[in-house]
Amino acid sequence: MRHLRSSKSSKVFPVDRSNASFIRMQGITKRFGNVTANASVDLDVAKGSIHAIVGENGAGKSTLMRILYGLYKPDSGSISIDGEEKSFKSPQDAIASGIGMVSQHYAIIPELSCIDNLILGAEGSALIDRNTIIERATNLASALGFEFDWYAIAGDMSPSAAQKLEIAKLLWRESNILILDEPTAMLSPEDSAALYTNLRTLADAGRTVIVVTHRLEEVMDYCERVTVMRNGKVVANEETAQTTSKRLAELIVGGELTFERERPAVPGRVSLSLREFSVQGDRGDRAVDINAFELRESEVVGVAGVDGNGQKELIESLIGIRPYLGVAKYYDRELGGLSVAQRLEDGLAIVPEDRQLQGLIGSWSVADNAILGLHRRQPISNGWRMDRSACIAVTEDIVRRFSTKVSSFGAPIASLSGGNQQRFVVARALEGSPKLLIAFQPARGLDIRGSSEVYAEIRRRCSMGMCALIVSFDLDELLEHCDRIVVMFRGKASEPPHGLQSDRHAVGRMMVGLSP
Amino acid sequence: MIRVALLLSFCIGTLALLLAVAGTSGFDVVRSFFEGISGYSLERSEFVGYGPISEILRRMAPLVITGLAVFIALQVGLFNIGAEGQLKVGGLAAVFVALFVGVDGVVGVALAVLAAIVAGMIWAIPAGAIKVWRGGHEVITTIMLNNVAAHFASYLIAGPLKKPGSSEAASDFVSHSMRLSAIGDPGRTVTLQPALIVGVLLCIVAAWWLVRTPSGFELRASGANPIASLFAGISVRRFAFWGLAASGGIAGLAGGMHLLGQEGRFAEGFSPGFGFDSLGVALLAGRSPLGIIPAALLFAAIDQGSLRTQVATGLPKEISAVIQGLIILIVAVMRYRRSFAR
Repeated sequence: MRHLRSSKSSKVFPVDRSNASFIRMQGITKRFGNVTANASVDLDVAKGSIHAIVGENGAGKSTLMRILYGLYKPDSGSISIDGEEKSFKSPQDAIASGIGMVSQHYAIIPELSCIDNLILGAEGSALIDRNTIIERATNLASALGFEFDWYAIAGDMSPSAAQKLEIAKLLWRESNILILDEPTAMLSPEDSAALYTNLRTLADAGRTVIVVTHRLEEVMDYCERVTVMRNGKVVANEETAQTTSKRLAELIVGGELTFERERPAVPGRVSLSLREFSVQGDRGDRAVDINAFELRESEVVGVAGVDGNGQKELIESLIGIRPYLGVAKYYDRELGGLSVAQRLEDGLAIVPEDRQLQGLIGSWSVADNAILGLHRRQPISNGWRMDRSACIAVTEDIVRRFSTKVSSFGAPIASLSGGNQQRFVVARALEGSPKLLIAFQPARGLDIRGSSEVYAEIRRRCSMGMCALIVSFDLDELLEHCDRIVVMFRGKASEPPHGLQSDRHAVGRMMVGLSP
Repeated sequence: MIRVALLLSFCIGTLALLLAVAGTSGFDVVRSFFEGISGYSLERSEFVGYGPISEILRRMAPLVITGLAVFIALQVGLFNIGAEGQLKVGGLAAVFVALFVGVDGVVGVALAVLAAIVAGMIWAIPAGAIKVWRGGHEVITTIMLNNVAAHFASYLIAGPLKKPGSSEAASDFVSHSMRLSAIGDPGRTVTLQPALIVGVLLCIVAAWWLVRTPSGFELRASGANPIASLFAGISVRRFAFWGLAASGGIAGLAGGMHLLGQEGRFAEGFSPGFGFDSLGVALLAGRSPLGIIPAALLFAAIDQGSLRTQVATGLPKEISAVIQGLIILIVAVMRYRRSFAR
């Protein structure tokens, strides 16, 4: 592996091609009911640059980008592209002006092939000439340094390949302005670095890139300028060369961060122990193959690894929706003999990978979602009847835990922002004093403050005897918050040798199968 | 309430429009429709009788129960198109018990109704099993089972169940002690079918059960998001299987009660398509089983009113099917608008 991330000194930015800003948004104001999502926001982006927008969840970044992409109409303010005043009534208008957007949730249709996803909606003619299209697509991909198996089913692609396909889709539509919302949320450090290298190539070729992100290292390493938003307003607009990530973090939260990490408690009894543990993947392969692993009370153990190395299968087998072979002891009982419901009852708690698909029922209310999974517990249920006031009490508890913003307990959960949904799902998992928390990216989509709050609470619980197994693709997050790291590579789990436990580069090498 | 008002005004409006096309006077049609459902004569400005209202309630009875059957299946995320077939085998089972088991009175009725429920369940279980263990789509399998039920019924009433010595393809009438006759005096009061009372009670119980019990909660969850339900420790497959079986059982009950309460025997045309009308009723009902009651009332009233309209103005009564279809369409449009609006 060459390097996980280009070092600061090697950062060479091309000279600004023009001083005049290419994209100019002025005085943008957007209200939703009585919430002002954007208050007189100005944004200037230079042609051929990578421009970052940072801020907490709900700071108004996504709203601003959706306005630029024509999804929302601003209440006031103007947009001009290359000096020309624009008024977008729909994304179609924005696309016609060369603007493309990749949202946090990819818009790839898993049943279709790569090539079909690429051309969908922009086939060019009524009759599709496969050979010409494949040739054009291959040329486009190779200009980016991408490689695709065009006939592969899109659903089988890794997240990084899907991300690349999304970018290729924009270029197929001849977008000059690329908006990426949290592009690296699902990527390994290596894939993230590769993505930014590609974006740099595109910017050098004259395209303009806007990145919405929570990861300040990326901003510092790869972007020329950064706009910081807070409470719907722009609070700073700086050149990355003239600022530090500490200063950015303070600007984002509007003050200094004062989260302290709880000291690790002394590990207690063994809570979970795996021996000769293997799990079959969807394609009949051996997705997980762990020789021995132990998790003790009070421990926070992070599972690092590139997506697709068996993390999903490991978690699914531990919570009981996928069978395993071998031994998996939870205290003195074999997990395999317990149903999902029994495991939950015995103190296992889950933060699933995909909160919308696996964690929530979108059409249901906040209150009904709050008791999902807890609905058979006392005092919510006495076995055959559910107690309304107990349901409300539990909902209040869950919403209060990480100050989730909800308009009412009867509002559909789908009306919450992604960050609030994530807070809600984590708070629900921690409800009812679980003994073992199994969390897949518990801070997914959360900003610095939200992420710190979530981990601080997990650590606080662990100091009181809980233990946590946390899977994340964000190595920095794990290194910051976990007592111990286990790396998964092709289903095997291994621990970094003593002394290299918190060495970013050693763990990074192990993630791609090299020796530490 | 707003929705109901909107729908009523819509269907009256459409009616007027359609007759303009059909060449009858809009006023006559609306008047005869109103008279047909209310029993109030506008010409004579007096109340003529409870007949039309009783008739609407009679038509409502099987729609309420079958509507609940389809509704329960919808709650577990399955579309039970097979209610029609399940209703028929329910009727067949009831008539079989009533004619051949030789128990009369209350015990006989209970036995016949129980047989109807079991038969309906048995008719739904193959679809549930194929869905849960093989992933076969329930819409296809239940439609197929409808055909099997229809032909099976035709065979039985032309053969083993046929009334001896009769030339008509129909079973014999069940004995009077086993008939569930309507409550009330036809001349002076509204008459009520026992099946309607059972149906309304079942809807109330179901509404309570779905919201207030953990098992009802799990059933709704398994239909609303099966994957999230798995993560919440809910056995989604079990609910899919038993939800469809319960749906079949309820449809079977509707058939049994229809036989004992209204038809009295099983003949060709036993069900004029209750199982299919109930799909519309269940869709119209919305989120709660309580919605089934007004939805079934609306459907029954439209059927009843259009009968009278045909007699009075010559406008074909099939227009009622057109109106029902339009209502379902409008409701679907309104729901979609809501789910896309943010």
